[in-house]
Amino acid sequence: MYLFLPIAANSIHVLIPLGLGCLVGFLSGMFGVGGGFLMTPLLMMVGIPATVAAASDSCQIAAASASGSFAHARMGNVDYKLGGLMLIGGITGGAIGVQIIKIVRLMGNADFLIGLTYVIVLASIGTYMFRESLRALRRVHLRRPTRPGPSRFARFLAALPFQTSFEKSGIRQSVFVPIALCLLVGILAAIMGVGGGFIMIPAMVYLLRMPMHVAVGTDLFQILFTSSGVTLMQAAVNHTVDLVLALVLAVGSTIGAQFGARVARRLRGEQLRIILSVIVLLVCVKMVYGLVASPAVLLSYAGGH
Amino acid sequence: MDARVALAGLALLAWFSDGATSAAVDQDRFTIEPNPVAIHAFFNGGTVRVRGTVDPGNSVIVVITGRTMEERFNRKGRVGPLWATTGRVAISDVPSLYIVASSAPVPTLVRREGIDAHRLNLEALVRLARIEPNGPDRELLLGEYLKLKRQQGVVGLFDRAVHLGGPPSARSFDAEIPWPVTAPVGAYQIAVLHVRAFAVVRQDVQTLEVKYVGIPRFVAQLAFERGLVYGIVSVIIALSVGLAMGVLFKRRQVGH
Repeated sequence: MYLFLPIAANSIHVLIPLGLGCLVGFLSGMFGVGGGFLMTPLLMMVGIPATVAAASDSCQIAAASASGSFAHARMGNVDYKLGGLMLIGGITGGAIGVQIIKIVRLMGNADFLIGLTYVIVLASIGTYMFRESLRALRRVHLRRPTRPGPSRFARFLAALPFQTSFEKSGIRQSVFVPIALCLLVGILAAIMGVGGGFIMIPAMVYLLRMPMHVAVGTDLFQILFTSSGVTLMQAAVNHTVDLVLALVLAVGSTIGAQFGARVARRLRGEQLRIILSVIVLLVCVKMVYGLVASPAVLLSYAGGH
Repeated sequence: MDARVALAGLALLAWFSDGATSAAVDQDRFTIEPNPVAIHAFFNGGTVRVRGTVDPGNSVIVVITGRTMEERFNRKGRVGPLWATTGRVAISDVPSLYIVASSAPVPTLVRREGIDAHRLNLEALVRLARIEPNGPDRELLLGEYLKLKRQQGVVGLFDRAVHLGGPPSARSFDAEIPWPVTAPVGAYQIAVLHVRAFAVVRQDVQTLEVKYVGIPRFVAQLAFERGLVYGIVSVIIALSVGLAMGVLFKRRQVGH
């Protein structure tokens, strides 16, 4: 059965977005990250225009994060004070990102920018995760205990002005830190169609020293609002949100996430991270190939089709 | 049929009749099914069937053309090791869709002059195209343009798609032409050329309409005409689906 996608102006077999949703949902259930950073490039690989892929992925993330953030809010895992500051940064960053997409789309380089941003972010994250999890695996193998002290960056954060206590998270940070962090993530959310969990969770746990469950709950809370805001802005400014595509992806990812979470219980954290890093690096290689290889046709429709 | 569709049909008729001044024009000698072509939620392209009568001894060529308009393209080029957009190209005076179906290869049915006059091959199709900026790489760009259009399925030549049949006294033709999923909504001209002795002796013309229905119509109208409302509706639906799926799976887990 094929589905006609009115914004992408093409049809796609329903099993493709459903399967992609399941696959990415499975990975996100397994690794505990949203998976948006995998969804957009995979959609591009099956022929969805980059701008439609990124905007529809934002809509799918809003759907996927709705139930999670609601559940975390009920369990008391959301730091609303921190989440509110993160939202200021996230929504502002999202608005900046949408305008960047609008400008580069007019210049004809939106696909190129999205592809290039993916290559840079995936290469950085994939390499970092691979090295970090490899080190962790070796530590386990050698049974060498580690005692990480406060890093130079953590000392820099502690020296920033407007230090505030976030009781729920049990930390003290400058108000500028969550705003700046989410400003960056908001820009990436609009350009790449991601929720940003793969940046925010490590940043909140390692940099801000937040407890994992509060980091996940607060991140989902801000993702819900940021991705909803980005969806709204992409629809109003760029007309690139394909609701039909987003809903099929959301259904697939919710189903996949259930199975991913079950598999995750059987694997160790560093094993999960090294598998994820390899997947991230493989997607990155495919994206690099797309930018370097000669295109089949030297013309493409200006401003989408 | 609204006024815009009628106007587009007239414009197409005017454009097409430039090359067919000697042939008679009639609108009643063939039927189109379906008309309109409805793009619904499960649409994946389809088949347009053109049927009619033909004088004994004549062959038939069916030509479907979209409206002529200017289309803007990004031109890709190398920036260091990467491929990026390096310029813009505008191509006009070419129909947005061009499909030719015939009972035999067109060169075996019509003389060269007839092919050029009626634009019955790709070379003739793009000969009059205007390119801005026009430069020495015109041929390369037109080649890439045709490649893109063929990839989309909106340019095609089908030389065995028309079947002639019936008794000699009442000959008929029946053409089944694949309709591409990527063809945009709007009015298309279907011209049936009757060919005898390597010349077009008659030309019948009708308009085919392609339109969105159901969910695609609702989504496209809202998305392109009321973007903000569409955004709000999208977010509400997405959040509702997300919450519903969450509740569904929670119940199933409880059940287990």
